[in-house]
Amino acid sequence: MKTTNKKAQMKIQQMSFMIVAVFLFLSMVGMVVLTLKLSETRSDATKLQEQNAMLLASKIANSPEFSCENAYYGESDCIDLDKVLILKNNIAKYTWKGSNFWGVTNIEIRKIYPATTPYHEIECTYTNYPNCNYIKLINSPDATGIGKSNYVALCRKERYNGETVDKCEMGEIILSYKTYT
Amino acid sequence: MRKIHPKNKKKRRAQNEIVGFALILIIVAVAFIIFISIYITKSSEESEDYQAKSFVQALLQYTTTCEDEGLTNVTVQNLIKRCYEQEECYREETNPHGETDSCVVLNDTIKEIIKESWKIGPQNPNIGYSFIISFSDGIEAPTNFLNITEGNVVTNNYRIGYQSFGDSRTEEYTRIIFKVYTLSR
Repeated sequence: MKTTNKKAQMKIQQMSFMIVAVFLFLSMVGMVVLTLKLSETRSDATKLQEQNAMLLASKIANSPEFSCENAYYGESDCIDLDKVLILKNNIAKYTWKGSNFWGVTNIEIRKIYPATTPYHEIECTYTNYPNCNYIKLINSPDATGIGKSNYVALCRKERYNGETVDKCEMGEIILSYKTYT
Repeated sequence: MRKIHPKNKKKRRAQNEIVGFALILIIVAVAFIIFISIYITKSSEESEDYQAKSFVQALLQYTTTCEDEGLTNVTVQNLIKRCYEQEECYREETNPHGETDSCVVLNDTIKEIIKESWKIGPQNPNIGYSFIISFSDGIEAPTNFLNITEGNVVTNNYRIGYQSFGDSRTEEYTRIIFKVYTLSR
């Protein structure tokens, strides 16, 4: 009788050890999965924030004040540089009480290719246009925050052999905006 | 018949239990490995990169130094068509309005623009790129007719941008696949 009791106790002990071991193993696996999922969520959030900033750059480039629309053969990601130069000289109309129409702290358009050799930073004005390489539209004194850029085609009308032709170059739109966390 | 000693019987039962336990552990471990491998392959799925896509869009609109028969400078998009159809374009730079192989101009223009825009190199985050242009007649699968590759293109970390354009009547289309290989994403 005593031996059977002892045997049963041993069996219960064995089973409990087994359950504890399996539980520990499963909880360890669970922890690994949870860590992986958490890191994935974090990277997804960062990616989403980056993509939103880039989308904002694209959205601004495709807005009526900037985009080529039907004036050029470009469909999207195309900036009408002639229009932007006029906009630069009327930018005061788009700012009000320290903020602006687009809600950003900085908008800059830069020509990438063809690059001027040797490279000089020449801001576009009515007098030197189109022999220049950047236009600063909005430049807040507290221009801090997230900065993002996106590639665009910079198009303008040009006189060639007595005709008006389209000329598009490679450029980027750089903007920064404040984050509220 | 040989009688099994009760002590040996106990030992054999214990051995059986250990084998059972080991089996359970192996099954769980295999399930875990399968789960991890599925998880890893799922996370490396390619998704289009917004910047790479915008780059391709802008590149197609770029006005090249080559002219067509009407003395109008052609865009990269038109030059791709000319290159596929083996039509030449005219360039003042090489010789006054001399005929130039449009594929050579296309190749050089794309290379130069990528060099200035993406800053590819071993000391940069972008270590290589591939720019593939393919054409399909709408019936058969697209075939590559221009493939520009530079730098390290063996890593699995890349940013990808696609662009297709073509004729809706004939169903012919040209497809561009641009990949920028990076050290890490």
